[in-house]
Amino acid sequence: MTTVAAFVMLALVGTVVRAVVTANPPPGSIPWRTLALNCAGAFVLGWLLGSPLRHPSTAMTVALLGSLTTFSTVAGETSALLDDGHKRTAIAYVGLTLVVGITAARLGLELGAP
Amino acid sequence: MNRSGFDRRDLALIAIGGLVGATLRWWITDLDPATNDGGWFAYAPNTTATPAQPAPGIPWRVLAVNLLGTFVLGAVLVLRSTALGTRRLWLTIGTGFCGSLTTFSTFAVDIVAWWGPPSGPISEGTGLDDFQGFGDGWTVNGLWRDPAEFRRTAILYLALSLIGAVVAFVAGRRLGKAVAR
Repeated sequence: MTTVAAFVMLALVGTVVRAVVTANPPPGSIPWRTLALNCAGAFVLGWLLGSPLRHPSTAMTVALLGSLTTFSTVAGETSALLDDGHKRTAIAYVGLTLVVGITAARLGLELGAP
Repeated sequence: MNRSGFDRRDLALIAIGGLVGATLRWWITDLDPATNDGGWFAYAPNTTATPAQPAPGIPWRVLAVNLLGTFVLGAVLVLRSTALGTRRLWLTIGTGFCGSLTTFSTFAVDIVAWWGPPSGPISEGTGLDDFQGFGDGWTVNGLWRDPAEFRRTAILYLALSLIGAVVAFVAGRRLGKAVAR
């Protein structure tokens, strides 16, 4: 029961924080706030899973970090950039999300390892 | 009200959509851990998923939720600019549900997990030592694996996520246009 309560709580927190942080992306430029949030979430998840000594709960990983980070918003923002003719910015955004996000996850796993 | 322009009612709608999305993601990705076909969580400690993995697999379930959320978002984005798409629909389904159904953190960690294990000593007795560097390869549940096999999977997963996202988004848009017509 406490697991369910924690899951609900953290899913709500993750969702609302993400919604507020990613709201109103700057038109025509890279949505930096979404990028930062996704990279931060990837880093923290890597850090939490980096050590077998840590036992992050499902609420922590799936509910909080899963809801805090997003894949669909990146797709939506990229599509908006393309629709407005900002092709280079769109490509840069997807590239940065992949490179910086995956690097952040790697860094988290490295630094989190005992 | 705040910088984001959301009032309390907006935040409540976003939260409800997000809770449904996150729960659905949990249900899909953790439906039956014993048969979970890939991904870091199949190996992570504190889960029941530790049966021998036949081969490094693509995290199909995570891929599925990401593409499903992208598909729905494509449809909702089209409806947003029509009479059918109210602000509340957008906040609940687009921002809340799709945003929380899809995830980037697991995606990024899975790519890294398949690309190569983090360096440094990893203690015995948990699922994570399955990723320990082992000579020229790694051991996964006692079986030696060729790192190239994992790396191919990582690249395939990345490619499927990118191409799949474009396909899902375009398909979602088409659905949205068909509904709006």
